[in-house]
Amino acid sequence: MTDVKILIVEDDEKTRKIYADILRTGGYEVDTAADGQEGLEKLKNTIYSLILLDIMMPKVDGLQFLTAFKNNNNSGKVVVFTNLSHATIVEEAKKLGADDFIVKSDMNPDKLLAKIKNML
Amino acid sequence: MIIPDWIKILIIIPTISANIFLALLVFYKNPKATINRIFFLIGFLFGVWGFCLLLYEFPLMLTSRFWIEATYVSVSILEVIILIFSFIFPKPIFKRARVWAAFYGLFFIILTIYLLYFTNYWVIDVIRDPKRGLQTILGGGYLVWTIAIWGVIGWSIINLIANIKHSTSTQRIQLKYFIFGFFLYGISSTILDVVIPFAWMDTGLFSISVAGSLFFSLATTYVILKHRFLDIQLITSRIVAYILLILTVAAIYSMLVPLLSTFILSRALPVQFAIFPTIITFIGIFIFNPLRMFYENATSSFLYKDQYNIGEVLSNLSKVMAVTLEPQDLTSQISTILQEKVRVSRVIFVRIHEKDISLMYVFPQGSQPKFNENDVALVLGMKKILIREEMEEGSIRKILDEWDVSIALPLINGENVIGLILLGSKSTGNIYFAKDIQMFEVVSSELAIAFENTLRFEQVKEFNITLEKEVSKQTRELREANKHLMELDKLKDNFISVTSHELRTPLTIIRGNLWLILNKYKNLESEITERVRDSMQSSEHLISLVSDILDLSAIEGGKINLNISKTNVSDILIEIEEGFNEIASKNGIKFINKFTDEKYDLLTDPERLGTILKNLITNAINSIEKSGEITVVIEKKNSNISVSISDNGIGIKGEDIPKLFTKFGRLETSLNANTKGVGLGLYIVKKLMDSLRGEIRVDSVYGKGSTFTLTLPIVEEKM
Repeated sequence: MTDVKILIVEDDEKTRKIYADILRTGGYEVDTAADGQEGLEKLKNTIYSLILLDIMMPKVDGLQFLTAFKNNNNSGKVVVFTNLSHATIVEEAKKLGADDFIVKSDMNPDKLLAKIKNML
Repeated sequence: MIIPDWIKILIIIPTISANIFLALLVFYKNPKATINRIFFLIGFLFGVWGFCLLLYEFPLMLTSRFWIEATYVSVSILEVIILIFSFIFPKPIFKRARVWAAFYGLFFIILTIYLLYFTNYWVIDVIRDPKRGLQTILGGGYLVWTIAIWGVIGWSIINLIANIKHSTSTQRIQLKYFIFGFFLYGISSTILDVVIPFAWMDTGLFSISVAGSLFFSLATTYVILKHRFLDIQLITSRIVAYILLILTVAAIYSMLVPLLSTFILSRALPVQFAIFPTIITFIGIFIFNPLRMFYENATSSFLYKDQYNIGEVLSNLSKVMAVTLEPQDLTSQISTILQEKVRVSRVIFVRIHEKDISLMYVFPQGSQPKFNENDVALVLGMKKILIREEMEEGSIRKILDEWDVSIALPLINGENVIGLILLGSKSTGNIYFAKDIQMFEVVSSELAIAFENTLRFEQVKEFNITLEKEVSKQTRELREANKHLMELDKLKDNFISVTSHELRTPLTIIRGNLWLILNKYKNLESEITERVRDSMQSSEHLISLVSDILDLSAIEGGKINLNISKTNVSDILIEIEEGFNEIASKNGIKFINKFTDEKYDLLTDPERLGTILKNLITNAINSIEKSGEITVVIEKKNSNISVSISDNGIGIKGEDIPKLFTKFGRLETSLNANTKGVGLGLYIVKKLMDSLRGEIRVDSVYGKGSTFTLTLPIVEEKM
């Protein structure tokens, strides 16, 4: 499992930190990016099996990231990972190619790890 | 020199008449203009001059001396008036010099009268010389007068030349004619009245000198009238022609009359007899043409009714072709002109476009023949106008017979074949005459171009319409995409999104960190572990509370946007159960699913349905104390699907059931102290069911368990 790399794209520092740590306890290698732009940069150098993507971010937000991701034909699963739950946002994310949509607060860490294990 | 009397008369009388005539002509043209009035005076005075000279030569009353003196007086007055004329013709100039000119003019006239009547230095005597005829003996006073009058004439000419500088180019040319005429008049008068008398002592040419005035009069009349019919070159050549004509006719008659009369009457009639026939012939020649046209028109109006003026028709056709832009318009207007003027009974316009034959216009309606490509190609291949009645038997003649047309006129522009015009016979029954055919030929090339233009215009119009449509479609699409983007943007900012984000973020962080502590650090004291666990559960509680409140806020604000799609109820249930597996197994609760593989599909919002089911299952779990079962049944009844969730938990007291779906309605049972939620769950469930157009029912026995049943309509997805 050490060769499975996960990228967390999230602007809030604490959130970023806690989820990175949570996923590391699951045994995954985790990289982080503070906004969409940094995320896209990271994509240039590394291949990630999973990307957890926040929506509300400065500079390049989640939806824009998704568009760029699809345009560049990057590989890996993209899961939108946010606290927004509005149906239109979900729809838009799915339309832009997100593989799944998780509301952070809905999933406690155990459930999250289980889901990720299923996905990979 | 003795000039025969009849020549004198022949010269003087026409001169007088011509001058008076021109004077009247100019006067009537514009009686109010000063120029016209003054010229009238001048012309009149020339006439007077001629008249005086006539009476000088043939003194029917008074004496020759009287009349020659009268001549000089009238000439003097004449010249002064000409001087005045030169100040205003063609344009008024030199206003200040006019005063001086007036003085000089006055002085000149006084001088004339003085020299003439108060001295003997001018006209000394008038005698009849046997060799030289009537002669005036002139003295030195005459020379003085001549010099003075040249002062007047010279001044006039200077004014005229000055006027040239202020004129437009057309006026300059006319002025030049005038000055030239003026000059000729001056020179001729000087030579005949001054030079010859003094050099040869002979005043016999006095009477002829008046003819010089015609140079002046004619030139001035021409400039004043400036009529476009007064084409000076034309007039000059015509005058010469007519003079030649007169001389020819006179010569013929003067030769023929004596000759013929000798044969017929056996004696020669004198040549004088020739004069009357000459005059009559001359008149006849001139009135022949107008008379001819009059008779022609009179007879045409009842014997030649079909006639039309080719020039007029061509000009009408040209006008239509130049102005009309629409093909239909062009063809119908051309057809109308042909019907009305040329009396064509049938007109067909055929358009040829890359082997495509289409009918552009037909009159009368419905009278078009069946066209096939070959026939049309053959007819066009002749590349000229075809007249059926004149054609020999053959394939083309047969085609025209089948079509029943008399004329086939191809419209060819350079190398392009644009179309074909077919004309039926004339409604009067006549054939097409040479001038009709001629007109068609002239028109066909122009028509080909005009036709092509209208077709091009049509293409451009169509292109523009298509372009417009495309542009507005693109604009619309852009606008919609923009709207969508703006809506998305708005969503991020609205209250619910912001609140949910702001509340949930710290809560998830808290929960996450607490979880991490529990999972990462294995060797913690049990007190720490217990406290951390309590905190984590509280944070979970808060999180679901926030969710509930936000849901409620959305529901009450009426801001729920339902995302209706085809939903499989069993799939959702299974997924939700999986989510609850951990907590269920912790509490020893088992799920029992009683539904088949059958498709339980309906049109609803899956997310909302999920929330409802989660709430009910949560309640079910909460009402089971130790271990139990939750039974889920899905049934299809009539046009509804019902889902019932039963638990064998604590159940609900009868009196509490009404409070169940109310806001903040928590039941006071011993278990509820530990339950999460502020009692919003079932209220939310009820509200959501309402918005999904479903119903919820509860059956419960206190102590035994409860069953919540949802009923949702199956709405067939509209195909």
